[in-house]
Amino acid sequence: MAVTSVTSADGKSLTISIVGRFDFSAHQAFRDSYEKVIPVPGEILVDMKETTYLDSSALGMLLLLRDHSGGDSSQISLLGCNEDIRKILTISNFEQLFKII
Amino acid sequence: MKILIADDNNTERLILSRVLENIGHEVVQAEDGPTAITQFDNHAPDLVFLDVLMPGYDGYEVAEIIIKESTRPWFPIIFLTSLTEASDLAKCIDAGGDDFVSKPINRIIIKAKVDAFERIINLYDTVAEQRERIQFHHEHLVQEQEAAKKIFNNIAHRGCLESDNIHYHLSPMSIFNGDLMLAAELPMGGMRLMLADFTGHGLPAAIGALPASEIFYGMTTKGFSIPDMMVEMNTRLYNVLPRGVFCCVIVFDIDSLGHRLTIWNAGAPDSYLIDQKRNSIQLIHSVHLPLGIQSPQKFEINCSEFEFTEHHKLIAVTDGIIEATDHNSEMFGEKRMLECIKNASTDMSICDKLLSEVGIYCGELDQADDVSILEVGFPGKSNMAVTSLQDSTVTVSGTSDSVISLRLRGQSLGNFDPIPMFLQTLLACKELMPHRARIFTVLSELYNNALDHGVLSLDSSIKNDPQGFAKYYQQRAQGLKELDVGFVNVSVDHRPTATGGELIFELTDSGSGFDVEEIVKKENQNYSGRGLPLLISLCDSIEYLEDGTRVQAIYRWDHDDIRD
Amino acid sequence: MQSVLDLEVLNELVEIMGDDMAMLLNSYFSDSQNKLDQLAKMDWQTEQETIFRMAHALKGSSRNLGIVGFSDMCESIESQARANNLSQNDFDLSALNQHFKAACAELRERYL
Repeated sequence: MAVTSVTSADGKSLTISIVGRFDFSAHQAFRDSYEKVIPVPGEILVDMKETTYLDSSALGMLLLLRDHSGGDSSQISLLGCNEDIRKILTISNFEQLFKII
Repeated sequence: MKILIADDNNTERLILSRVLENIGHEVVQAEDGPTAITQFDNHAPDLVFLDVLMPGYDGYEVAEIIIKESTRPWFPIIFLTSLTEASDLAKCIDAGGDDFVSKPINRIIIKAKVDAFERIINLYDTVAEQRERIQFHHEHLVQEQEAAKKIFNNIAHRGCLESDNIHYHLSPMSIFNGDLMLAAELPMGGMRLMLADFTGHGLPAAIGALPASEIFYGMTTKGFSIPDMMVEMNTRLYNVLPRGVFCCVIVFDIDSLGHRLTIWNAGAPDSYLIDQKRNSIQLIHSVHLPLGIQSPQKFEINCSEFEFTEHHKLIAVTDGIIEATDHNSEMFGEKRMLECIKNASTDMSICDKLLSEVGIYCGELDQADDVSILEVGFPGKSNMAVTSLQDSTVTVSGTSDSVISLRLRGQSLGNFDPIPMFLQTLLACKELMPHRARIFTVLSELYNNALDHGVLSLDSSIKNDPQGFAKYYQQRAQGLKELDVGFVNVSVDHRPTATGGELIFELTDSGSGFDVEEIVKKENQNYSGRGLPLLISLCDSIEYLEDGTRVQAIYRWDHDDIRD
Repeated sequence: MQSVLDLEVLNELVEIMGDDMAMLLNSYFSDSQNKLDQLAKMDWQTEQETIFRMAHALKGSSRNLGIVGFSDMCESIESQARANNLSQNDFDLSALNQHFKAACAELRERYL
């Protein structure tokens, strides 16, 4: 499990990439990737092209990210989710909160 | 550090003492083996220098004895030796020594070795202290969890889960996996059940269960509908749970009178509605975010309705069973679940069959143990008996002489369910408590007739086939949404009589009325519709006036009533 | 005859002992004399085990004080006695005592 993040040159968007399992062990690293970015970027992309697995604690972490980025006014997209992850997101109806690409 | 030197050579002992004292250590001396052992016992040194060749016990023997006798897990022993054969040096280590120093001693080497051992001792002490602290906290934690379990069991009790029509398996660790299973009888007959899965483990997961079950039992007995209850539950959980913690839930009502299943799945895996007569399985998908995520302002709930009779079964699960893995870390999955359910024969409960399949699939018992399954069949008909009053000394109380009246118009008809409110007010009169099931049923039936068939003009014969159920309730929802004008007036007049009391229900609706006789004839054949046969059986009298847009029903009760 | 004392060792020792150097030396003188007296009474044929231990002890403390010749002699007696190989020739007490006296004299001169 590895979490990396890159802010765009103009500071307006942040991309967080998660490689491997997105579960409770990613908790601290995930938080660190966005908490210290000031000001809060207007757009956040969570790159899950190489994420192999996602569980309910990861859903919780996504909710925390959303809360941090303005709640209802946040713009967060989840990219490259594999079939299993999509399934979980669908059951949880998370497309109501995040853009799933 | 405190250092013990055991050396029979005075000169050596003296020099080594001084070397050690010069670098800040406290020295205890011994001239021979026995003295060394005594000194060790009395002074508990941190480190020991042992001369190998001593009269009486030699260094190796002393080492063996003090190691055995010591209560400390470890302390360093350094042998002093002028023997240079590798075999002799190896013997030092074999005897339990940690190092050796050759004679004549070199103070630089002595200091280096003593410092190194001091670092190790500090490390040991740090580890021991941390382990003690961890142990302390761990014990604390275990105590807290035990207390939480007890509290939890008292509040989030199982309700009517032991009823004949229910088979279930709740993981023994359910509290701490956040799984919650609740069941309560509905006031007008039937049951309400809920299977919830709180995220997380341990105390945070268990805590959410308390408000959830309080709301469940409190509101169900008061006759609140599922939407009303879930609005309340979502609001409470939204406020109470930390961000990132949420609750996946399946909640459903089985109305035994109306043969109806009302169900809502928010974030849980598919539930399965099995029609054993027609051999079909309907999957019930999650249609909403789990509870605790959506703010109260944005929360919206739409239940689905299905027919539910004696040959139906509902299976609800949490993701524990889907995610149970075998040796290759492959999940049991939904496909296997569906297959298992399809192939289940009627002589074994599906719940048991699923459990055994998962058990075989996983190989070891503990995975299958982490699974929660709820299997519900048609509840036995509630016998509507008047139950006995708990406190028979109460005579006249509460609203025994009162009229409650409410008119709901237009959009309010879709936005507010008046039954719980009426029930609560009526039941302020404690003598009515034994009659609550009947009163609830009478009032619900009358009100639903007025609204569905009166104001909305819905035709209940639509419900006669399985697809019809969904269609009927879709039409109902649509009708309520579009309702502009229209009203239902409900009034309940409660009067004391010589021997007890009398409830006069009077409802008026803005519909176009109906032919009472015709409906009675139709309904004596099958139950779907205005439930007139039932009303007639429960009430002392019932009369339709003004072309069926007004109904008056009277329910009488006596102080010493135990009717059948 | 090689140098009697290893001054490097002794200098170190002075640094370690400081004012107690005299005390250390006197302790050495009496202890060692004691052992030499005991050795004089021993039978080189039958008590090689004990001779070995005594020689070992004398060697050890003498080395600590930087005494060269005397301690070398002790060492050879020690190793032969240990192997049970001591001959009357090797057990030359008068030579041993001579070396000892010389060493003590020099130590007294330098440090007392």
